Amino acid sequence: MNGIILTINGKQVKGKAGSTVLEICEANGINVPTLCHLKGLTDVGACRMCLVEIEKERRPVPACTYPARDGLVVQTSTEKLEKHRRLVLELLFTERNHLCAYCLASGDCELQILGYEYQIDSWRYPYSWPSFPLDSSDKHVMIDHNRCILCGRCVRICSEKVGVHTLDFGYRGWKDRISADLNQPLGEASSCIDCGACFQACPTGAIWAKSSAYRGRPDQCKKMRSVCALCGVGCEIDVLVKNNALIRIDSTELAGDRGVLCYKGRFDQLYESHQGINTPLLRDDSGKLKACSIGNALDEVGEKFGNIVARYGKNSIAGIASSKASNESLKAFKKFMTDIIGNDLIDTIDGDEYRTIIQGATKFRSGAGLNIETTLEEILKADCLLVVGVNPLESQQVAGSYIFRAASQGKANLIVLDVDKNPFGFHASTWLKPTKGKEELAINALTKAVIGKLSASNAVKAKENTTSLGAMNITQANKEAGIDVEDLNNAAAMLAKSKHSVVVYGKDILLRKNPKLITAILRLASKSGKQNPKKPRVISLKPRGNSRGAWNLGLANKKEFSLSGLTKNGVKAVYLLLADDYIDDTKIIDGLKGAKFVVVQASYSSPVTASANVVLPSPTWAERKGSYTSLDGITKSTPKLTQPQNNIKRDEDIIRGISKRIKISDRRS
Amino acid sequence: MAKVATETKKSAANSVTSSKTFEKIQAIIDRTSNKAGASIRVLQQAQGLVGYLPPGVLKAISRDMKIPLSELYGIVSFYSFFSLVPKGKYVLQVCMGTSCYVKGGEKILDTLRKDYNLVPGGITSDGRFSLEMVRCLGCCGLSPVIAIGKDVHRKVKPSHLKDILSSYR
Repeated sequence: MNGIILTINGKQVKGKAGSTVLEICEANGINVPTLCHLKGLTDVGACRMCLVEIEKERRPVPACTYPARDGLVVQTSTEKLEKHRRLVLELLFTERNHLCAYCLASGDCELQILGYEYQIDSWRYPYSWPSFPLDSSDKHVMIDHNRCILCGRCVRICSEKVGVHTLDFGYRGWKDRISADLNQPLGEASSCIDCGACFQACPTGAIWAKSSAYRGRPDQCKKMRSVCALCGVGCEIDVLVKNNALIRIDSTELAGDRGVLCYKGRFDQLYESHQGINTPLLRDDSGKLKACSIGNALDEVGEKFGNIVARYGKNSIAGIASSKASNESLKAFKKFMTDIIGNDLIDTIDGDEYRTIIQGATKFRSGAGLNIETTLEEILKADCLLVVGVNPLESQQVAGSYIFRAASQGKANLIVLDVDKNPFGFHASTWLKPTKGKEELAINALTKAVIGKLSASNAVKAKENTTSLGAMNITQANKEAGIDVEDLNNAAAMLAKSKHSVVVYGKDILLRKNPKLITAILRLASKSGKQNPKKPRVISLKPRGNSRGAWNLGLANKKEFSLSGLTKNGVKAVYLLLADDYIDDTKIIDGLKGAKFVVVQASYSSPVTASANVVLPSPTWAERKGSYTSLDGITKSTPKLTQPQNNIKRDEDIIRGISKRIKISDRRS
Repeated sequence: MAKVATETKKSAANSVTSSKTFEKIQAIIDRTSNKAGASIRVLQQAQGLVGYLPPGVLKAISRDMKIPLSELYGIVSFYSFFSLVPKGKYVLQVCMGTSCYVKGGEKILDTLRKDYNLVPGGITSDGRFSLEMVRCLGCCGLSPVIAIGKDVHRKVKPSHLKDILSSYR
């Protein structure tokens, strides 16, 4: 009974039960004009462009909201319908400012395309010369209400997919317009997270991005499928490139499950945030960094590395990589350190976070690795979400959107466990605020409370392996951890009765470098309703875009690793692969001070490159072909989007160059 | 007069920001939120309590009912019943329906503007009356009518206004 057969324009077509007439038309290549429809969003039938005639219906109905049935006889293009559509377009062109010659969306506008299709060269009603305001208060997005057709796509994407519901319709009739929060300018609307989904959803020139305005229409640009490597959510993107510059970044499927982007991925990457390094730099006798040829720089590095190994042994050089680099760069870097230098003094900048997670997971279940974590999609299916020690809107904004989406309209309960400075707590139904440093106690108290609320049979199972919690007095523990008893009980009840709970933790927990916290979180998750006790649904928001990739490749050291400790223990040279990461962490800069010879391979000039003896250039994410692994373990690749300046070589080619030169000096000695 | 106005303003501001008001709004939400169309009912009662809907009240309702601010604003700006600006102690409604208009409703508006400096959407300087135009109060046989609070005054002539208004203190 899943298949249905309809007659559309005299032809029999098949479709799935439960679809709308429009969906069946689209699946069968029958063109029905639309404006307010955006695949993936709830259809509202607002624009009346998709009107179709259906036998036995008294009047035309919108195809986007009409449920398809077996045996429907549909006409999508009759004289009457075309007349209707023309009228709709005439009214739209009359109502507000749709003078294409003055609009930046010209050439990329759904209204304009339909205007041409229906040959709207005049309209029979007087032009209304609207005077709505132009809102340029936001950093990235501008809204010109005069060009709005009130299709509501921005409203629906904002509430259904981004989950913040900043935009909605305000006023009525002629005055009807999109308003943000309490009709504030968008830049002052506190709920807006600047993700730019409204801009991509807008069919006309009413919402547009400052970053790409007047820089080229999509049809003048080269469009390439890529993956954003900024935070590890791994959003697939379409990048528009013109004149070797990134013009615009779009989501590949805006209203799809993983379609939402964030302001960093969509807008910030279009701007050069730091000063780039376009040429190798060598510290001369006077102590200044001077530009030199790549050959000279590699000779210097090869010679110095060779000499240091010859004089102090192979354990005198340490390698540190940023997990923002691509898998290919990281692989080459690891190979260089293990095969050419021949040691395991290698780590990532976020190595501490890796060790915390791994040690915590091993204590929970021996042999557990990063694979114990679940995927980001699970957040969307959740009926109860616990967010611990992280503000996803800051670190991984898109993950924050998934959480909002899951929790919107009361579908999932959202519990936040973090200090009262975390603004994400304001979105929670229950916010547990433990005293700083007492998080572990708070999590354990919550675990015990959850077990207490489980049904008898589940509770027996859950009590296994939690004997350490047996002696805990919840009231006492609450008092010590600074948590309200009622809140704790509420949270425990939600977790205990949930059927699909997901725990998300991040930055603040990882920075604590306390594996016990991770164990406690995993144990709590495994006790919540209906979980696989060996693989509870837990996901960590990792510090960098390719952290998971770097850690999977074994770049992060399993043993404790600290830069300052190394230089005390005989490390003379440090090789830093930063790629397009910008580091101004004083700990790293101070750690480097003990080393005699520092090589930094980076795309941007930073305090770290300033303290180097040799700076090697590195292409940015956009300037190289590469692959990146998302924080839930999915590897995606990106093509070379733009040509690097001065034809900077790839990281792996530069590393190969050093390898060759070190061998030569070895033979000599 | 000016002093009275500032005092009224002050007391209005105090009543808005006082925690008692928010407690009362919380009570309204608690007893209404499970009913159909809860948002409109809560807004209606909150406006009844405060007199209008200042941003603070809307934010409190949004937070407690988990309704986005933009959605509340959509409701408040759609229905002319809701007001985002303070209202007078008494709301004076002048009917501009066909019958009242023909029988001289506009003259009443003119008089209010000239003698009391009161325009539709505005408020008297002592904060006593605010003025609204309405379309038909459903008693065309008594036209022209004005309503003050819940009292309807029939067959009003501009010369009656002084007596009518002075009876509201």
